[in-house]
Amino acid sequence: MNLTLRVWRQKNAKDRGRIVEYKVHDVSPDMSFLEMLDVTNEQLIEKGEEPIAFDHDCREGICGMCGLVINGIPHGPESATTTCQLHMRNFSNGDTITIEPWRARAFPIIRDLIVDRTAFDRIIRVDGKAGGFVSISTGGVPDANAIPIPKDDADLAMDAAACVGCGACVAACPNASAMLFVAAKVGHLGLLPQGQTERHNRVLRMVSQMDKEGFGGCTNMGECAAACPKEISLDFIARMNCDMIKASFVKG
Amino acid sequence: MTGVLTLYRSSIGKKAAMAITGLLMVLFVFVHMIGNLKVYYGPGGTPEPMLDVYGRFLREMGYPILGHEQGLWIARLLLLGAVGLHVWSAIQLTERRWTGRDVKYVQQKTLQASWASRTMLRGGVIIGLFIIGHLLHLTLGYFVPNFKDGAVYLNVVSGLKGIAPWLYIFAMLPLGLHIYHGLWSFFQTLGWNSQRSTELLRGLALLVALLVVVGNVSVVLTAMMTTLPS
Repeated sequence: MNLTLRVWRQKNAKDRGRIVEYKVHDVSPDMSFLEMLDVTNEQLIEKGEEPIAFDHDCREGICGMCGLVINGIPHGPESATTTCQLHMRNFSNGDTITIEPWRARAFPIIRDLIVDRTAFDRIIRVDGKAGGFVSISTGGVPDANAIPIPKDDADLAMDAAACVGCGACVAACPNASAMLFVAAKVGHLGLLPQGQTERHNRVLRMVSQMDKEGFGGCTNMGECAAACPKEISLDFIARMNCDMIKASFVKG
Repeated sequence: MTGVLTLYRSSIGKKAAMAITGLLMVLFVFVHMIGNLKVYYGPGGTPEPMLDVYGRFLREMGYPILGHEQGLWIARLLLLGAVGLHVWSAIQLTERRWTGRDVKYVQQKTLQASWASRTMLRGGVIIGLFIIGHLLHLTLGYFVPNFKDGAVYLNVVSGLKGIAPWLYIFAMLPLGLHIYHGLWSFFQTLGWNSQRSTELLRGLALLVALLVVVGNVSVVLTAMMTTLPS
């Protein structure tokens, strides 16, 4: 396959950035999208040009590092797929592909297609107070079945816990809202008995941090869930809204 | 009480405020539409048109506990408060939205978002302008030939001539879309929506939106085509 790539090139956060067009040849339809970018970079290096910087790690669709807006869709045209799991067979010979980074004020561009997603880490951590985790005192290992959990709750918690924090929800949202990410993190712990102790503080602090980071508000368009590679449902946003309202009144 | 403030400080709280005030307005618009249907009784009736009787009821409701127009003014102030809070929250959330993405995409596709959901702001502004125009027109009597306080039927029929009825009909499109997305959003925002109930709630929102639009448009068309014996 021969392709024309229109790639966003930006030296650093301060640079204005622009779209640069590249021709890439000898792309196999069996390559992943990232392998195609590797080939492009090899061809660029051979020509003595600066390779395209992009984020990636596991290339198995489970780490959440990779993420590109491909032809206007986060993670590209295939649903429930991360960029690394997207294969070139979804494109045709001669196609022109536009590749951009996630765009949100809370995700500043580091270089080319790499964005800084530490805003997500700060939402999880919230200065070491109850964030997207549970506080557990260390001690003897508890029995595996000591705390019974209804199967439905366990399944639902697992659906939310599937979030890899890639940020496609923010990238897809016309408001650049992080509600689906935060809802997944609030939701999976809120469904389990271990998460109850800090449930109210968790949602209050995580939502407050989300607002501080400069993400937009949610207008229930559903673009986040449609773009999510882990198919996390809008239901978790409803669940978080409910938790937030309750927590506000309980904790004042 | 501090809970309300804690909640309103967050973006989720502002959405909840929009949901609750929005629901109040949807209920009002629905009842308003049903009231409008009294146009179908026509100019007859004893001793005055049924629409005028209904108008008088609105002015006198709550009697003898409430005096003349007191109930009406309570409703008006309540609605004005709802509109104010709805608009204020919308401004604050829109500001977040506009600054949330400082650099726009070169190319961005919509995956599944409905037209209604993508036009809430534009539609809301049009509806706001329409409400101001509607109050000036049929409540205060601007642009209505021979406007007479209390003669609701005559005012409506003589007011809805020329370009006015077409403006009313045009305004029903954004209103319908706003209700369709807004009413479903009410449940989502307050956390009462889930995959199990979403189809039902979307259906309910569609039904209410259609009833309001069809009812109001039919009333406007009827008034437009009614000629008064001079």
